[in-house]
Amino acid sequence: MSQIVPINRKARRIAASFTASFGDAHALAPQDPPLGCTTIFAPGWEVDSDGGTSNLCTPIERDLYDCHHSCYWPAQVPDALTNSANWSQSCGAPVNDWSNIDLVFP
Amino acid sequence: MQPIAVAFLLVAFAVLTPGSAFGLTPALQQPPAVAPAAVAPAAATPPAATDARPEGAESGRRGGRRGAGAPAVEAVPDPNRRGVPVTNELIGKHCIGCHARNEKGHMTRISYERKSPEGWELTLKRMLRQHHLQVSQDEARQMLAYLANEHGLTRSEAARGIYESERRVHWSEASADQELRESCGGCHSLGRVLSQQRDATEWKLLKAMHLAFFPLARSQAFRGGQRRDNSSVNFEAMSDAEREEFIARMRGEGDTGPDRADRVLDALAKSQDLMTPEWDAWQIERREVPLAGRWSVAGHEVGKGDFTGHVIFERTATDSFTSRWVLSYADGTSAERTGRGVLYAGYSWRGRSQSAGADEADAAKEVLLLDDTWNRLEGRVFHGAFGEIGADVKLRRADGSMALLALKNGAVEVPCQGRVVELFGQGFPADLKAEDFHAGRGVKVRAVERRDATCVLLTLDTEPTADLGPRRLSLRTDPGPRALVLYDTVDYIRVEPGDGFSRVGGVALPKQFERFEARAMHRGPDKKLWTADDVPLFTLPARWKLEEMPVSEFDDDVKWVGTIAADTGVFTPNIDGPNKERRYFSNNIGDVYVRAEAELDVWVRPPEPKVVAAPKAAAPDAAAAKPVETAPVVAAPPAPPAVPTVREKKLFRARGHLLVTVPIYVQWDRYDWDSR
Repeated sequence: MSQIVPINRKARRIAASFTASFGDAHALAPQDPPLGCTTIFAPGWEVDSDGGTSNLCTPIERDLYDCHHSCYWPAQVPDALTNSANWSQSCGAPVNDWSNIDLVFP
Repeated sequence: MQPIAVAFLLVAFAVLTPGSAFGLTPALQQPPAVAPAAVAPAAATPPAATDARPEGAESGRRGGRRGAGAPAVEAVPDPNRRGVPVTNELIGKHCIGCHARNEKGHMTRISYERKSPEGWELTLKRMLRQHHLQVSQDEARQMLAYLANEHGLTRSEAARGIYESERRVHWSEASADQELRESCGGCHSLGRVLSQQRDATEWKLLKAMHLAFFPLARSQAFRGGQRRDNSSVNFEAMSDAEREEFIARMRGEGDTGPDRADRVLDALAKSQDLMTPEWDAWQIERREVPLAGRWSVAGHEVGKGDFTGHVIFERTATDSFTSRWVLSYADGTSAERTGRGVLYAGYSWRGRSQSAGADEADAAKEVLLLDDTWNRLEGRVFHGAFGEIGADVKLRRADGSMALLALKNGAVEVPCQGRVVELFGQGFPADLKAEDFHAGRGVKVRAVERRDATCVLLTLDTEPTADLGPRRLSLRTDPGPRALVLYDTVDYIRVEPGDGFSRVGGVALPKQFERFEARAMHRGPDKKLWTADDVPLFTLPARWKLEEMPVSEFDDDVKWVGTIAADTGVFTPNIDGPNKERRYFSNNIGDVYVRAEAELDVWVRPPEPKVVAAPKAAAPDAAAAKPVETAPVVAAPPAPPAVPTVREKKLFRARGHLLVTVPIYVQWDRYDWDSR
């Protein structure tokens, strides 16, 4: 960090937050995501292309229908085409009624 | 709607696929018209054309959209194609409607693939869900047991993808073949692929199934090679024709060659073929593997520490056993669990056990793999909604022979006097003496105290000059494990797992927990911290805290993701669902650091002795007629290592990364039997 000087507000905030933590602690940068994470498609279901969560859909319920109907994440979200055609029937607007959605047990 | 849609897709696929049994197969294109194979009686059916077709042959442009064409499912299996005959009555009865059978007992699809028990479970559940298979739970169990046994994996095949069955969260597939990873790993772990064997035709059909069920897979994963860096493409400089051609190329139009999935499947057909020498040998040599008896257990559970104990397996039926586990943990607690299990295909143990009076939800699943000597079992015992809470275990058959299995506190300081190490093993004789143990150069075994046949306390002295690092502790004829670790001081501590993984839950979907532990580390032979040769020493109690990992402006993940227990390192994620108090109604997800702090009393390492550079020999003068005689350079003897004399209380700090992410809305391993 000593060779990088923050020049804008965002960078200063990040630098301040970084240096507020321990100077001598060895922080592990995220390595390979754990098993279960899909990183290959952008942004990925569990992680975004940077291996974090900041670029995921917010909230995730906003995107559930789209993922369901387009079968984009068939291993993570019930797919409308083959396995779970009626999955979303119990739920009108996922952002409000997300808790009505059943967990699917294929 | 659903069955009709699937039926339409399957039919559509069969018609469009080159090499389909409905008329495009070269062997069936010959006039005069041959009766369609679909209705021909088995005896009159010519050898199915799938094998006759040259590998990877293309027939028609339609193949272009799908890459190399998938073979058709045979109407009746070709008796000349090697397969595993189906001998189970239930499968004959319930599956014959779709899976035709030949006179050798081969059934389409079923006879040409072998899988792990979990692989067959997925298949069976798909048949229940999609293809109206009507069986009782008991029948399904019998069918699964048959398939996992008779159409299962050999030992080395099972070992390749065992992490999938073990539900390991912390396992990287980053080093796997990149094409395999990109073709399959975008949706599911590669362990699912590695846990099966198929012949070449069957591998191709796997792709066909995916395209029919999940058409998007083609562009998402299978096609490959189409993604290009478009940043340097200048659309404005292109003519309309060039632009259209570019877009068509990006869409993969006219791309008739094999795609990435075809390349991957060709490789899999070689590396994971149906018939292997090991499978053939197992077919000849197979017998019921005798598992019954007492086994010693040693293991480690992240967040809880090391444990030892034993398990007793009792045979109840062929390949079926009851189990009784007695375990004692390093923290002084103990556990007794009873359960049952099955040894599939001679090597793969799948069991379930729970402590007396406990809820069944508390039951732990056991996935263990027997080794070739039938004397060791190794694997993982786990529970939790995602199998995330688990322990690594190693079992050794307690057949009365003497064996040293584990050291409970095997990291020993250098120098030290009178350090007591607890040994776990089996068959420790009553007349043990210090001379029976050998701990290598610089370590003296001063005294032995035998507690019982499984526990011995050893008193060790280490000399200041003793070599650092792991070494064997051997006992009489047993070479022993390389579990004695010598170190001069603790260089740092690290958080394990370094990349934590958790899912919010608790309202609609279950939580996925995470546990951390702090591990003391030594810098290793290269004397540099954070390198591959660093040596883990022991786990230690620490104080735990979450910290923000700043990745964006106004990053406030640490406020929402959940809590970590300050004394145990157990992370409990927050609830699932949108959070109205959070910016953009965001979920309680985020990236945070996990901080551990611990104090240790360690030696202060004395400064390194200065290395005196040897004087450089004068370069020989080539022009000189006489060779220049130089005095032989004698290397100075290395200075003896300085002996540490001062101890200090040192505060160690470490950070790990924790990813708290969204729920997963499908659990493929579960099936609600009553509500289907």
